[in-house]
Amino acid sequence: MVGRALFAGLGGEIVVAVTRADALPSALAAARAEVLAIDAACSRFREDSELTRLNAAAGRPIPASPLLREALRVAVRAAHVTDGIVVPTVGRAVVEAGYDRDFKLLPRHQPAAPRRRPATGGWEEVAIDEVAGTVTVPPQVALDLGATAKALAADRAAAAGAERTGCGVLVAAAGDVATAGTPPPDGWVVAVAEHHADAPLAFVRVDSGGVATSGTTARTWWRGRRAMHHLIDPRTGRPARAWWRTVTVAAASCVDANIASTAAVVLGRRAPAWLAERGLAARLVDQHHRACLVGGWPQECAAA
Amino acid sequence: MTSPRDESRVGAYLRLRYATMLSGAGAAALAGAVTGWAAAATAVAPLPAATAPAPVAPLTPEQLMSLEFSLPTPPPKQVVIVRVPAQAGRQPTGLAQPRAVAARPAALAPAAAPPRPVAVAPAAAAPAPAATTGTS
Repeated sequence: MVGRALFAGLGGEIVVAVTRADALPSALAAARAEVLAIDAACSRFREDSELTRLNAAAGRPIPASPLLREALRVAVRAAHVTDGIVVPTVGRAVVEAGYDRDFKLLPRHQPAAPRRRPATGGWEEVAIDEVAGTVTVPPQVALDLGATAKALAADRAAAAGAERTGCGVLVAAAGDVATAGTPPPDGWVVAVAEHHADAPLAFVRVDSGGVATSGTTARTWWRGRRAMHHLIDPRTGRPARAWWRTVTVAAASCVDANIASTAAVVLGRRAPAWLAERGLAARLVDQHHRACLVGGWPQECAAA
Repeated sequence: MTSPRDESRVGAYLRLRYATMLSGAGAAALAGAVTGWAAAATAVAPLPAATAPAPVAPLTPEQLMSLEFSLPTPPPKQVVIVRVPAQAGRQPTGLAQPRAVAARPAALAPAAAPPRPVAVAPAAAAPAPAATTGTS
């Protein structure tokens, strides 16, 4: 890695790294364009985003850009491949949990949540009409693409940067890491931390694909006397039980890594077996800070 | 409207049918009565009562074709695009399926190679990472 730059986006920090120094400006511009496009299409917090319009459409089909349609296809595929564990139809549940605005603006202490169980179903009925260029979401359903859109942005940004420059590019979107093109000779060094801005706990090298981390220790707040976090279990409509502090997964793409890491958090104690069945390398950290390594994740050298 | 010539043909047909369906003296008497009635009704000389029905030749392919094309053209059917909700295991139906995803989406794909450890010599500086993965 010989060039690296950062910019703000998607509610966090976007890192762009390249294997050839002179390619950095072009890779940065390509990545930034992709990140801005995803934000305009998929943000739940922007009044002018396509997703906000879609959630307000009350069951009517509305025109959607190719990018939003791709993001929805990715989100619905996540629901398929996880058997409904990671679904996009948790928009109302996450709002009822109290996460109704940009996290930086969110009150950390809120009144107790209503007792009713928030609805999370309906992902099977999300209709994406590639012929008409429209999408339809069932009435009373709101989408939240948080489990997939940021990772999709990282994958697209890395691919766009590599295509434009012809060199190896890594993009990390607030902790979701994607790579494209020819990697450095020794691979990309990726640090693993509980929060992406924290000091590293371990390092690994990856040559391709993506690495993503999901957890229950970031984006937390209180609702009455109950601690809340942003990962909703569709089976209950409430934040998933915090069996794991973090789950980090390496996969063929950042999207797949993030789908798997989110599913692992929701699955709780079943997660190691679920990941191993799919051949996914992962590092799970429980509430006692014990790491569980599965699927070929290396025994790591802890950071100094 | 039927012409007298058509009516004569009807009479001949009825006579022929009864003659071939019935047998014996009763049949002959009935055939004679029918013949008399047909003759009186049409004033046309009746055909011989014992005429055997001519075998009906099967339609030739050309006749069938002409029959088919002589039928009125049905109105065009409305083309309906079926939007099949994404559902695991559901088979596509209809003329087009602009579905959310394929019926069997690709499974989660592992990395081409699992992550490799970073060798850190004792007391050496930690490697400079390209990026950090962690929650956000």
